[in-house]
Amino acid sequence: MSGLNESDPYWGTRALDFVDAIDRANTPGEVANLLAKEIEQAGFHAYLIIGLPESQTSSNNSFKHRILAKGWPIGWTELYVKEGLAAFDPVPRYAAQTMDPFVWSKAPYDPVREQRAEYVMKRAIDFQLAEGFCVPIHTDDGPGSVVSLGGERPELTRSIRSAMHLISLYSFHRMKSLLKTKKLNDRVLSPRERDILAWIATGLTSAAVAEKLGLSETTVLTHITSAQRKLNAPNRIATVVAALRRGEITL
Amino acid sequence: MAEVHVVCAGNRHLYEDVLDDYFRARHRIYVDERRWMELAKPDGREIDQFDGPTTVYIIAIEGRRVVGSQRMVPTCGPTLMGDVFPRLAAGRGLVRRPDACELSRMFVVRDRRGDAAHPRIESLVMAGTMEYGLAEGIRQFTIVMETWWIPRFLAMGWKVRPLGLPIDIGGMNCVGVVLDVNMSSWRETLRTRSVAGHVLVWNGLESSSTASRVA
Repeated sequence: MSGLNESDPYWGTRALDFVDAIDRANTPGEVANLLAKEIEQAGFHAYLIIGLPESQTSSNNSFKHRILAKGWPIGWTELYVKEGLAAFDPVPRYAAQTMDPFVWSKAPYDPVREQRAEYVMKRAIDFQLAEGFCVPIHTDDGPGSVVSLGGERPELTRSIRSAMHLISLYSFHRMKSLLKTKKLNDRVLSPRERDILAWIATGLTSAAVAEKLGLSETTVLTHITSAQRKLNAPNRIATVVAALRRGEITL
Repeated sequence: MAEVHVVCAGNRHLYEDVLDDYFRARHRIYVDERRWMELAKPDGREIDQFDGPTTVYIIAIEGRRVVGSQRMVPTCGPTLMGDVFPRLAAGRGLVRRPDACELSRMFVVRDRRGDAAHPRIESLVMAGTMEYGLAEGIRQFTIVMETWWIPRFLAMGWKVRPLGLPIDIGGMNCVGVVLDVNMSSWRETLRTRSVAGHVLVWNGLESSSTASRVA
């Protein structure tokens, strides 16, 4: 099953069939299941799809919010966050600097001067994450993302790496599109209500918003009350916060 | 804003100065900058076997200066994928059909990359390429490209599908892909790349090939 040359027909076919199949997945859960099942064939038992941090120093605070999909061993994420390992992990650090996929053990760090990095890699072994494969994704918007696959002794032949590369890229895209659609479908506010709340969020009074949008203040207040009811919020500030959190409006 | 011109055998006499700048720009980018030394030419013009009478160039110019481009050849003739890297299509097979073209040599000159222009030069070239395909009745594009481009194409609505596993070509992780030319991909490109609409200029080509212009 493991290929000796680059054009291994077994993994070639598997990867291309996967690309076709993932397009037919209709929920983020389906994408996750297909991905988990596929990578298992190459000896991976864990995956993480996550946005890269704006900077590595602040990366631990934002870790959980950056996750798109998680199939990590129980306890590992908790430990990772509790001990602030994101700030020392050489894998995301290298992913931020390279366009091509790499095996975890190739992510460079200085074992003498960066003992925390060494610690992350050693600690992962306790969770059966001795080796892995990381696929960086850099589009033009923001710091990029990764799909990271882990296991105890995954097969990492050239053709399996190529197959995992394609599988990861297309899983990422499908997952992201479905999450976006879900967010849009989950929206409950009208465009006008979102518009008004977005202005309120910048600090404008309802009178100022009314003037800005060419509406009467009564109309603006009616829209705010309606949004407040839909979001089940007790007051105006809570309405704005709820709208932001749900992605109804952005800053 | 840069203009995006269609340049081919039918109108190249109107673009001799632009084409000269174009081949020099390619030499600067692929030889001087990217160090693909096998493409080096003593006269500083990077021209290869795919620059022929059936080649079509989508060229973005500011004034008469070339700032970005994409090249197209019919897949029934010689192509990069078919004749140089056929292994890239080992999974699904080569695409060779009269209504499919291969794209190559997509570039933006160094000082006009990224946010140096609005919309980005790269976006104008991509939108122009899809517009050309629609206008000329092309059904598919094939591309030999570095694999990291896949998510970028997907994000702008170009539904690229690999024809085989990625392979290493001269230290670059490359893949062969095919994608459909259709209105939804074109509209998605305009939307995601903030391009207002049609971008192509068809100087000297009015009579020949513009009958099926995009609605």
